[in-house]
Order: sequence, then structure tokens, then C-alpha cells
Amino acid sequence: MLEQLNTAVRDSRKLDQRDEDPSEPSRVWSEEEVIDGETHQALTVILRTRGCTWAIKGGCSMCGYINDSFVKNITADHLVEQFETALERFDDHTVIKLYTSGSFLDDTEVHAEAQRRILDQVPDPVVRFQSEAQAHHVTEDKLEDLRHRLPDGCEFALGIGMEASSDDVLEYSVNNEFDVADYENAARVAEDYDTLLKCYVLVKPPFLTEREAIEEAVVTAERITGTPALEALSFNPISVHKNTLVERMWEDGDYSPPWLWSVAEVLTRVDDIADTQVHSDVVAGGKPRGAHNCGECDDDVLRAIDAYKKTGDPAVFDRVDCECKEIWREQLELEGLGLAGGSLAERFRQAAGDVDGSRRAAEQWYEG
Amino acid sequence: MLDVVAREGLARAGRWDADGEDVRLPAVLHPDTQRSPAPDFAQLTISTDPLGSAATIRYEGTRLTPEADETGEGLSLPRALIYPGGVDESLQKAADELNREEAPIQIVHDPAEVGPVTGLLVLPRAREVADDAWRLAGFLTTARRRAGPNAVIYAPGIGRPDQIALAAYAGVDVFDGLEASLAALSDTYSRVERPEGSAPPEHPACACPACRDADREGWTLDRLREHNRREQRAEVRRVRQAIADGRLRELVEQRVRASPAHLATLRRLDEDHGDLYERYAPTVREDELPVVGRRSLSRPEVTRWLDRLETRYQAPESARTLVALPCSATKPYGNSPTHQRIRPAIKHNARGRAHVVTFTSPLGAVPEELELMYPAHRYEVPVTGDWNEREEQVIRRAFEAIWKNGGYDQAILHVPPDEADIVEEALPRAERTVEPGERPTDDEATDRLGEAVRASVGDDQAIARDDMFAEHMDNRIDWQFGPGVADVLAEDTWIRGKYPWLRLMHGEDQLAMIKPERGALTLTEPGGRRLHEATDAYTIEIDDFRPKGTVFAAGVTGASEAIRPEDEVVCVHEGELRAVGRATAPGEIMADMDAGGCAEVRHRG
Ligand code: SF4
Ligand SMILES: [Zn+2]
Ligand SMILES: [Zn+2]
Repeated sequence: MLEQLNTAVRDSRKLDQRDEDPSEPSRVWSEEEVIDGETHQALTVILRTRGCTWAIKGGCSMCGYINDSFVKNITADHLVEQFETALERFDDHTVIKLYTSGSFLDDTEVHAEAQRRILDQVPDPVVRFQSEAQAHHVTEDKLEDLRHRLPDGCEFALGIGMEASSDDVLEYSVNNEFDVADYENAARVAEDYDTLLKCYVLVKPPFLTEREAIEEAVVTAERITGTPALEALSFNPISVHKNTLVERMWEDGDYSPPWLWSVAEVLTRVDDIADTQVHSDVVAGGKPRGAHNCGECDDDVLRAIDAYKKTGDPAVFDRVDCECKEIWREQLELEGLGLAGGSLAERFRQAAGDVDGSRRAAEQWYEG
Repeated sequence: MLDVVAREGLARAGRWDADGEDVRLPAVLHPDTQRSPAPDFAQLTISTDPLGSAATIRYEGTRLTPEADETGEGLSLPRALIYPGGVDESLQKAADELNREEAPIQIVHDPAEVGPVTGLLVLPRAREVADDAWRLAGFLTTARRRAGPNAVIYAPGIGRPDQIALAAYAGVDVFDGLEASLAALSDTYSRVERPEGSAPPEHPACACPACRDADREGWTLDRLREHNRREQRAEVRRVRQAIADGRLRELVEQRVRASPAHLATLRRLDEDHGDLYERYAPTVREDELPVVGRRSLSRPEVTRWLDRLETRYQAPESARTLVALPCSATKPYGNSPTHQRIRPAIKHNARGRAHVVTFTSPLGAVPEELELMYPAHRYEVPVTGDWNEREEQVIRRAFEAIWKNGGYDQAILHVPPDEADIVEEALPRAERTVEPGERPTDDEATDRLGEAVRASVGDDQAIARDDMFAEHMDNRIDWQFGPGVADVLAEDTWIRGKYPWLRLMHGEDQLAMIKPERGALTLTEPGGRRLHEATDAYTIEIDDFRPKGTVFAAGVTGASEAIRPEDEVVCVHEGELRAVGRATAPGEIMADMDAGGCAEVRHRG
């Protein structure tokens, strides 16, 4: 860990403990989920917890979940009560997705007792229970304790935010708490306990050039794709969360979210090498805080990314084009050669007519 | 290796051997890519995929995880963290710690963390501070001072034509060619006189090949990029030429007018780092110093003048009456028609007792015996008689210093009344001899001056011509070499020759002479021996050899920090005089220089 980075990440947060009803889940909703071509009804629950333990210490540079989940005085009973409240909406659902904005298997965030009692209550018709965890929490003891509690025939799936794979990127950019070796351990344990993993990979963590970001995502896919228990590789283009290091950089013009072209490029290249499902959920796509292009073509590329998720055919990306793609190509070649810490990406954005970027640059000009 | 052939301010012109390729400095680092290959005139490129024949910085793998260069040779970019500074400067500090491995190219964010560098020093943060007038001056100056004379400094993000002269003056050797491409991508046509550039003109005035084509067939990205690169190149060449001509400061003063930010940066350089620039500024120049705008008032040669009046100057021993005369366009003042009409009224009545001090700007005041000294001997300034507050302040301080450091009984202000108003308070017993409405050259005024001089000198006899010459010579020696040196250098001497071709003689041995075009004293070998006896301040310590012609840095083991380029110096080995000559670099960097000349010697000891 790079102490200064961790401190900068921590200083970007507004760690005010929230006074919220500890017995109410943060959010509950129903949505459709397609699994192996079959449409299921999924009940999605966001638990209100004390927050990701790692985020409280500093945490990942792009992650702002702690802003909404740093809640006071949560007991094991509260967490179970929240899940029970959510279950009141359980109807014809066959999938439950339970998220904590941290790690469900972290005993500090979610009491071990609560983990057990929640899994014990998963109703019978559920064929898939999906949650998320940090790799180092996926241990033999933990799965030994939990896995058997789910109904027979119910899949157990865990999303793990691997984010990147180069030690340098994990240490100097993402500030992740675990590394690829931890992930590989988790994968072996998961395989032994009939648990599926979904690996999240970032597109464009801070401080990397656009090209480095693409390379890092692809290299990460290469390293992860052969690991056991892997169900899907999910690419998350960074969106600028409130009160994060990335947001401060973005406000200074030192960080630009990735181009949608980069997301398409990552998916195309990973499609070639990965032997599992590959997709990307673009948050705030086409908006200044999310992955975006020039503004003209954003919807087309977003649609293509969606179509790829459905069809798995990367040819969808060949059918979209725009003038701004030239600027993006120039950026891939030139940005690294500029030996800049961040601000350079903004110049290419402006060249592509990125209004938000231009506005910030104009403000800086007048302030300077 | 770096061979500096000319310097000005912190700028250097010369050759850098970059991995076997000869690069003329200042230079441009051009990105070289498939889509936008470096221009054929590129001498230095950066590329992930080196093809061309220029010196190339290889950028392999990615910045954080470069592919190992097995040979460890050449200009490979090292593994380096580059963090932006806006968010948290501690990140850059951390990166500097991590980047500190020995590498042929060093990447340092914080100039305060820079250590002595031999080879290329990259300042990634330059991009962030490029347009920040409050930080740029300190940033670049600190980096150059700490990196030392052997570092070739590359400032990414500084490369717009309008920035180049100023940044070179502040010590940047290599400029960013990417700026030309970025401007082209943003549809911006670079113009040296306009920081923001402009839209590509339909019929460009520029005569470069790209503009000629565009005039006929319209603009394309490639043409725009090429024009921008040529505009950048033209300015780099102008800067190189200006350094060789000793005219960079003039170019800088001209360029900064294009932008308030540049003007502010120059101001910071002058005001916050003036001491450093003074140490790099020559003490002799054979052509005139043009003083054209307000910024010229702060150039190091000008501030040095006032500083020396306050710290090195003592009025001639016999002077009893300070006579202030007006400035004239002709220099030295002794040759000006104005002064030739006025001065006889003084000389005839009180040679050596009445001391002429010219009232002027920007130098403030020029005592008659220093009229030949640079830059008083030749500087061009519009004489308007309209002084701004700052100039008035300098004039007052200068007269005050002269008065305090002399044994005067009285001052006579033979200047127009509004000028007399400016200095009167600095001179306790002052009499005016020019009435309102009169010109100082009017007969009534000069008659009045003659009367006043006679009255003020009273019973004191005019002194002998030789004695006056000797007093004046002492003053020139102390001005050039520091107070007290004349006591040794001019002991038991006499003056031969007709002003201004004066020689300082000991018996029949010549010790020094004034060459009017240089103004300062030039020493002979016996003169050098005496200087060495008098002071260590103009000494270069050398290895055990007998220098001839150029004394190169390799043979220099130490040098006095008082030495400025063009100063007369002695070369000494373990206390033994080995040569006398003229410095060609500032003393403070001589011992650190790996290559290049430090002095030109004439006489061998
Ligand atoms: S990304 Fe996950 S592990 Fe990192 S701070 Fe956010 S919730 Fe915690
Ligand atoms: Zn577009
Ligand atoms: Zn042109």
C-alpha cells in the first residue's frame, strides 16, 4: 500500500456516520435477470451496513459507496431484520441479489451471525443467490460455514472487485486491499465449495493514460480468464462517484472517465481471449461523470455495448463510428508520450468538443 | 555530454550528445507515432515504436510497467509514476521517492526534490504550471538551480511558440512537440504572438509549405499540424540565435507582451530570483543594451548597477561637490553634445573637486569615472524626462548611495527643476542651477553652474590631472573587483595614455588597461598577480597544468561565486598563478560543469 495514496483517498471522503433507521434496508427492488437464456425475477436488496471496512480505512480510489452506507450502530439483529423486511416483498422471485456496498463475507461489516441467519432464510424457490465479497474474505472456513445454508440446488455467486491485475496499478492507482494471488486463492476455494465468481474489472482507474487503461483491463482479463469458478468477467468503466479521489481529480481536470470507444475496444479484445461470459455495465454512460464520447455517438455505442451483452457478438462494435473516434485514436498514441500526470486527457476531450471538459478548462484559464 | 556554447539568463545554446545523436539545444522533443510521424527536421523524438534516425526516447510497454530494456542503454524511459498535483502534492512527493532509482532519464515532479543530474531531467509537472504565473518562475528556476549545469531539462507541456523564449530564459532546454499536435487537433493555428492561437486563416501570411498548400487547397489536420510544428521550430531557432547573440532578454521582453501571464512570470523571475539571474548575467558587453520597456528596468544588469552603487562604490577621495547633470542619448556621456557644453564650466573651475554624476534611468545615477562601464557606456533608452515612480525611486536611492559613500560638502543640481525635485531629498545640501523654463545647456544656466561650482569649492585647489585619474582608476578597480582591491592593484602606479585609452602602469610594467569598447579593465599577467594578492573573489582553481586559450570545465576544481561571465579572472593552482583571462561562465557553476569552457586566458603565469 502506498500510504500517501491511501491518505489522499481517505481525505477525499466525507466520513460522517449516518443516522438512519438500522432496521430498514437501503433499497429493495425487483428486476428481470436472464440466466442461461432464461428470464428470472430477481429481488435486489441493498443492505444498510456500517460500510466497507476497507473504505473506512481509506479504500479504493474510485469508490464512493461508503458515502451512502456509513451507518451508526448496526447490530446483527438489525441486518437480519433488514433482510426480513426485504423478504416481505418476496413473490415469484427465483433470484436474490444481496449487496452491501462492501463485502458480505467481511465479519466486521456484516456480523458472521447475520451472514448465517440471512442465508438460512433464503426461500426455497430461489435458484440463485448472488452477493459480493473481497477476495481475501472468501476462505475455506467461511464457505464451510455458509455454503450449505442455501436451499438445495441454489447457486451461490459472488462478485469480486479484482479491478486490475498489475501490482503497480493495484498499489499506485486503485489502492485495492488484495491482489491477484488473493483472487486465485478465492477461486480455488470457490471451486471446492460450488461457488461461482464474477470478476469485476475497472476500465480506467486513475493516473493511467487511456491506452494504459485499456491494456490493463485486457491483461487483467488474460490473467483471470483461466481461473476456476469463473462465471463472468464484468468490465466497469469508472463513473465519478461523489467524495472520492477520482472526483477531486475530475474536478481539477486531471481525470477523464474512459471513452466508450475504450470500453468497446476492451470488450472486443477480451472477447477474443476469454472463455467465459464478458460484458460491461456502463454507469452514467454518455454523461460527464461516466464513460462517454463526443456526445453525438454516445447512444449508439451504449446500444452496441448492450447488444454485445445480449448477443456476445463483438461485430456490433464494427457498426458504430463517429468523427470523434479519430481523436480517441490520436489520444491512444500520443497521451503517454506527453509524460503528464493527468491533465493531458482533458486536452483530447476538448479537441473532441467535450463541453464539460472545455468548461472546466475555461474556468481554469480565467482563474489562472 | 553537453557542450554549451552560449548562455543567457538560465538559457543555454549548445550541443547535447543524446545517445550518439547530436542534438542542438534548445530543442523540441517530437512525439513520433504511426498516425503522426515526427517531422523530418526532428532531432529528438519520443516513441513507442522508434523508426526514424533522430535521437529517440524509447517508451516501451507502459509508463508504470515498462518493458525491461535488457541493454540498459540509451534513452529508455524508466519506470515512473507520474501523478497530477492538483489533488494532493503528497502523491507527487511519494512518486518522486519511488522514481529515484538511478536511471539515464530522471523524472521528478517537485523541483525541490531535484538533485544534480547528468543527462535528461523530465519535469512532468511543468504541464500543470505552464500557465500559472505564480508558480512557473519558481518552478523552473528551482529545477535548473538544483539540477545543475549538466542537466538537459525537458518541460512537457511547455511548447507553445509564445512560451518558448521565456521558458528558455528560465532554464528549459527541451520543449514539448506534442503541443503542436494538440493545437492542430483542436483546430488551432499556432501564432507566436498569440498564446491562444487562432482559427486557421483562409489566406495565411505564413510562408511555410503547409500554409502555401492550405492557401490553395484548404486546411487539413496534417497541414495544420505541420504549420504548428514549423511555427514552433522557427521560434526555437530564433531563441537559439538570440542566446548566441546575447539578445534573448530582448526577445523575452517582446514575447511577454503577448500575455499578462507571461509578463507576470517574467516579473517573478526578476523580483524573486533576481539574485540568481544577476550571477549569470555578464559584466561586459560590447554592443549596446537596449532598454525598451518597463520590464527592462528590472533586468539583472540594471539591478546590479544600483546594488554596486550601494555596496561597492565610494566617491573619489577629493570630490567635495556632487554635480548632477541630465541624461543624454549619447553614451558615454562624456561624448554627448549636451555634456560637452556643460562640463567645461565645471572642469575649469574645480578639477577633481567637483564630481559629475549623471541623472538617468534605469541605472539611477552614473558617476563620471564609471561612464565607460557596462551597461552605462552604451544603453539605449528613450530619453523622455518622464519618470515613473519606480524609476524615481531608483534615482533617489542611487544618489543617496553616492552621497553617503562620499565626502561631499555640497550638491549642485544642474538638471531641469522637475528632475531636481526627485533627488533633492536624497541630497542634504543641494543647490539648483537651472531655473524653470531654462534648459541646462542655456548660457545663463551654465554660467550659474560655473559660479556655483566656484563658490562651493571655495579655497580647495583643483587637483592635478594625474591625481584625478588615479582616484578615478581606483574607483573603477573597486567597482570591478570589490572594495579594497585598488589598494593593492594600484599601489605605486601611474596612469599612461589619453582618456579613455588609459593604462595602469607600475614603473614601465603595464598592469591593466581600459578598452573603451569593453569599459572594464583588462589585466596583464603582472596585473593578475596583484589581483590574486588582493582578493580570492576572482579566482578559478585549476588542476596542475598551464592553460592556453580555453580553460575547460574538466580542469577546473573550484571557482569563486563572485565571478560573473566576462569578469577578469586569474587561474590558480595551489596558490600559484597560472593564467589571466576572462570568465565565460558564472563562477558558481564552474566546478560542477562536466564539459564546456569556463574562461579564455591571455597571459600565462
Ligand atoms: S471498491 Fe469495494 S473494497 Fe474498494 S472501497 Fe469500495 S466497497 Fe470497499
Ligand atoms: Zn462521437
Ligand atoms: Zn505556416
